[in-house]
Amino acid sequence: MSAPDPSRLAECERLCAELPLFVGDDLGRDVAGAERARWVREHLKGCARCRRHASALQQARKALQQFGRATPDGVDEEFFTDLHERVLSETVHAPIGGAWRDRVSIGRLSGLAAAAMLLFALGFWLVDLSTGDSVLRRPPLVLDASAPRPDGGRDDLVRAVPYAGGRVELKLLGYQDGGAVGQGMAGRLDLRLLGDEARLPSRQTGGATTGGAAADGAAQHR
Amino acid sequence: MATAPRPDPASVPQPPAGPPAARGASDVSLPGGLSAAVLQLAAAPQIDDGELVRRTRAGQEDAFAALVARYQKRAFWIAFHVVGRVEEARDVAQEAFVRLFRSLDKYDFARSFYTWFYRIVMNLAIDYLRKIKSARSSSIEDFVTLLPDEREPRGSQALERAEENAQVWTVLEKIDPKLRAVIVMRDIHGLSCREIAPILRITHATARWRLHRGRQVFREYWERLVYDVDERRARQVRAQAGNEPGELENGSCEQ
Repeated sequence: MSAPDPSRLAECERLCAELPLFVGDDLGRDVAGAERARWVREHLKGCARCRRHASALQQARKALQQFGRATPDGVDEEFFTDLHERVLSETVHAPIGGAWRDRVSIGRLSGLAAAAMLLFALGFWLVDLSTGDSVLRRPPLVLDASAPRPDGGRDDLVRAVPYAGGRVELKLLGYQDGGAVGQGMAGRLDLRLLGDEARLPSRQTGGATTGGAAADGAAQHR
Repeated sequence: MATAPRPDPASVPQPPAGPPAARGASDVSLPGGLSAAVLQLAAAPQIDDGELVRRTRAGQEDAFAALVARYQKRAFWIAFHVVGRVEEARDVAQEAFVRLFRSLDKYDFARSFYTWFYRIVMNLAIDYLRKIKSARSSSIEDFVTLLPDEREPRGSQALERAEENAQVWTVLEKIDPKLRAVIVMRDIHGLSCREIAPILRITHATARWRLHRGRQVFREYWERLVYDVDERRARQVRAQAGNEPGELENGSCEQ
């Protein structure tokens, strides 16, 4: 028995790579695919070993296709009618809110509740209320209330609604360096209830952020 | 709901015929018990899937019922050939339609409906396989029912065929779900690699590679199984003839 031709063996190996697609006519419908299919057919004519290989692949594929035609017990027209009804009862015939109830399941609600509690606990732990920079805790600015505003106007009295309590009259105590004081709306105007002014310690000290001359000016104004 | 422009019907790809069991879902074998209006809509060739989606979005219940009638067999069979169990395949098909209904607003009329719907079915089927992968090692329960009762007067050919189907499932179960999905869609349902690629959201080259690899792996397992079965049968025949030791003795010798 003569030794197999190495070039022939290389060709067989190359063919083996093509066969799985060749048996299903999947080498491609373009020119290159057609050329590869023609080459495989030519090779198979003269190679019994590769023909066996191709035959095994075709047998396996045939069994798969045969399997696809089999119908299990219980799968008949009645089965599909039942499936149709099931689908419609879950979709177009579902009671209003049914789909929403499905989406917001008990599990999801529990998860959301747990996440909310965690966030609340985390926020409670992070925010230290005792050191918060409350507007009412901050020492008031005591400036000359009769001094003109940077824009030239005057507003000794400001009507405002505090965040708690009834409507009261608040008095503008002044500005710092001709501009706004502090940060944000709470810092622009340092307002105090008129009745509270007597109890504020900074009234006597002249405020933490302003000088004594300004405090004197405010006292004269009142 | 917003109306979408109507594409040219000729440019919309039509769904593949599928296996014989699924074929005819839109013509001769629509499920019984449907209203005449639904049957008419489902069987009307001039009303394409996009039009049914449009009508469903406009609030016509019959349009969605017709869509279900058109695709329920394809959905069930493709799920069945991937998951291998009737009950689970029915659940997968049902869930696919529910998801389809909830996401009709997202449907892109420029794309083919069946590609979109098959993707939902395949994703659910593959998810199911992943979930049960660790739970079941081997199950051919539903395929065992394909085996005819031996007491019934049926031909040996039918018996062999049923046995072969059970063997095919045994082999399919061993194959990676990604490869299995491609060979099921190509070799059983007749979809081309160009149709499979968008369904699985892979490239055409990847679809071809998976088909190539899937067929190779299937053939290897299949040959091994057939060889084992033939070998066992031969031993049984020899044991019955009393010439050689039976299967058990022979099996113990191999160890």
